[in-house]
Amino acid sequence: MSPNERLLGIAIVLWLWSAGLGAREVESLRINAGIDLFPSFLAADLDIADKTDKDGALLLLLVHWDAEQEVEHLAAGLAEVGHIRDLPVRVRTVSVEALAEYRDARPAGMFVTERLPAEALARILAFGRDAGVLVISPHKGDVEQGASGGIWVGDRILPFVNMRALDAGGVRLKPFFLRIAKTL
Amino acid sequence: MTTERKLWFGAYLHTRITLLTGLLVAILTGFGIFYWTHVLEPQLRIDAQSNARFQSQALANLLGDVLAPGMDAHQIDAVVKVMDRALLFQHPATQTAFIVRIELEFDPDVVRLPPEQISLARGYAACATCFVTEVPVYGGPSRELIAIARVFGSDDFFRDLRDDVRTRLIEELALLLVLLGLLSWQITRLLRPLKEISEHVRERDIATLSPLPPLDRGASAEIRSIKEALDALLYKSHQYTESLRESRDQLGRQAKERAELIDELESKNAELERFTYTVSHDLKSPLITISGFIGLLETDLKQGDHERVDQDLRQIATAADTMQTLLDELLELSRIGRIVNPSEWVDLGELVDEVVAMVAGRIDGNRVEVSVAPDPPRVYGDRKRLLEVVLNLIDNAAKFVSTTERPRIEISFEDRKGEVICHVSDNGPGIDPRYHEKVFGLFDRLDPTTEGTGIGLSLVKRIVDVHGGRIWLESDGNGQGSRFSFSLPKPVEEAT
Repeated sequence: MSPNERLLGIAIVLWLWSAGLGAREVESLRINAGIDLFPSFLAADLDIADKTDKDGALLLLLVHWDAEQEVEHLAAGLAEVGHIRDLPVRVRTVSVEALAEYRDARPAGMFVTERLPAEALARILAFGRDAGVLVISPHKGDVEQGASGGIWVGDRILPFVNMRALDAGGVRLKPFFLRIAKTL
Repeated sequence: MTTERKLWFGAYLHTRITLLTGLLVAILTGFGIFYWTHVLEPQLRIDAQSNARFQSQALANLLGDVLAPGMDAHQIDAVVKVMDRALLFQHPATQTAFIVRIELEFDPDVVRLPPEQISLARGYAACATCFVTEVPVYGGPSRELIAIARVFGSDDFFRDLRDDVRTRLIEELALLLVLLGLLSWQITRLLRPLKEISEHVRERDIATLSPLPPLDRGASAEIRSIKEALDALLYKSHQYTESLRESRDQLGRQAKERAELIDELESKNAELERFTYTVSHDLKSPLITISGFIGLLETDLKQGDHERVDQDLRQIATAADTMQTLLDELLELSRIGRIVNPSEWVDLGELVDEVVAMVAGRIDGNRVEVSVAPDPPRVYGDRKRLLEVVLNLIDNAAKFVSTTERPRIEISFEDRKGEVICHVSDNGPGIDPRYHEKVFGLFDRLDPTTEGTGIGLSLVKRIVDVHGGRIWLESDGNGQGSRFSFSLPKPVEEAT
């Protein structure tokens, strides 16, 4: 199944959201859609080339709370992307507690893999803001809480951007990308 | 609350139903319009728009499969092919394209295309009513945003569906209105007989009650039952009213008869008083004469004056005869109305001829010319009494014309509708109008020197009265003659 076909499948399922899907399934679908759009966000970052680690790769952190096994599966899928803007991709999973260990690792972007308590989310957002990188959360309401980006689900799945969070972190996205994105 | 009130709560049921139906129609129409403009049409539009966006998303995914970061002009053909294929899809219902036009705008930072190929458009001219959707097109393994697709989705299906739904709504609303109208009409029709019944009863009073008019064939069984019950009630009321009316008429007749009886009794009492007075007065006169001459007779007998005795005896005999005549005639008068002979048809001409023959002595003696009108009518009555009437009138006339130079008596008749009149006219001295009523009184003689008892005309009047007729006198007096007339009613079968 190609990525596009997968996205279409996700869109169909989300479209049928109201047809009786449980909250857990919806959450899972949002995570899959979000992880698909995560590279798009990173590619739209005008300063992405400056956000490589010491090895010249883009370090992508998948932050979790306790569902480590599921996160590994997402990480494997994301690693298949290989390159973003011709920059190699390195994917790491990290728990909220262990996030401080990556303060000096120069991550290029962060993805919130599960719904987190407000305090934990705040810690991640603060980390991303300090690092000046995108913090993408596919969970409903997190963009409104300060995440840089997420997904907007309606009759389409569109990038959802919190402009104030971007400004706070000093992240600049391409205007072309912002044209199609839902902004807050 | 009376039925006269035409306000809402007092209005007739069919008026209420008509008003309610009108209100319901207005509400339904308003609801239909509101539902269409505020709910259904927007919902259809949103649904169609969502479908168009969903299709756009699918198209974007297809395009994403052939796009990749860094693509150049050589790869553009594959993109165009996907776009053209997307334009081919048709809606099976409308047989028109799902997508009318596709515009693709590449991110110049991502692709290596000449400026003229940065924007790509396929399809027909953009339509104003199309659903336009902008969707991101991600490409390559990194899912980078490569282009933004602007998809013009056809609204043909939406418009067709909208028109179809609107038409159906209008049809259903119209059908509903027709059904409501029919329902209202039917109810009004069913209830109309009740109104007619009430108007029929209201227009009549107790005296003009009549059965209700026949109902239409379409009248319901319930209304027929009401009508039958009312008819029965009206019939009973009618009978009761008739019975009351009959009783009232009977009471009226009885009262009238009683009043007439009282009048008659009073009249007879008065007549009896007059009669008693008159009889006692007139009978006293010959008695006084007899008594006086008896005294003279004693004196003349003592003196032996035979001639005076004979004269006294003649006077006494004359007075006794007078008294006898008076008593006979009084007896005769009393018999009238009490002793009745059977009625029969009497030819007045024959009666007159008979009378003329009876009084021929006086007529000839006084050289009276008598003329009788031709074609005398017939009358129905007691022949003997009627003969007395005619006899008295002609005899009186012959008596009183004797002083006239050329005495003449004319007897004429009138055959009117309902009665026969007989006139006996003479050219005698006439009777002053002041005495016209008095002549018919008992013992009332206008000229005491004339012969007679004064009972004759009373007797005549009595006979005519008993026959149900009238008698009257026309005369100016002063030698102008007089005309006595009497009328006799015709029997009912002849009068009609």
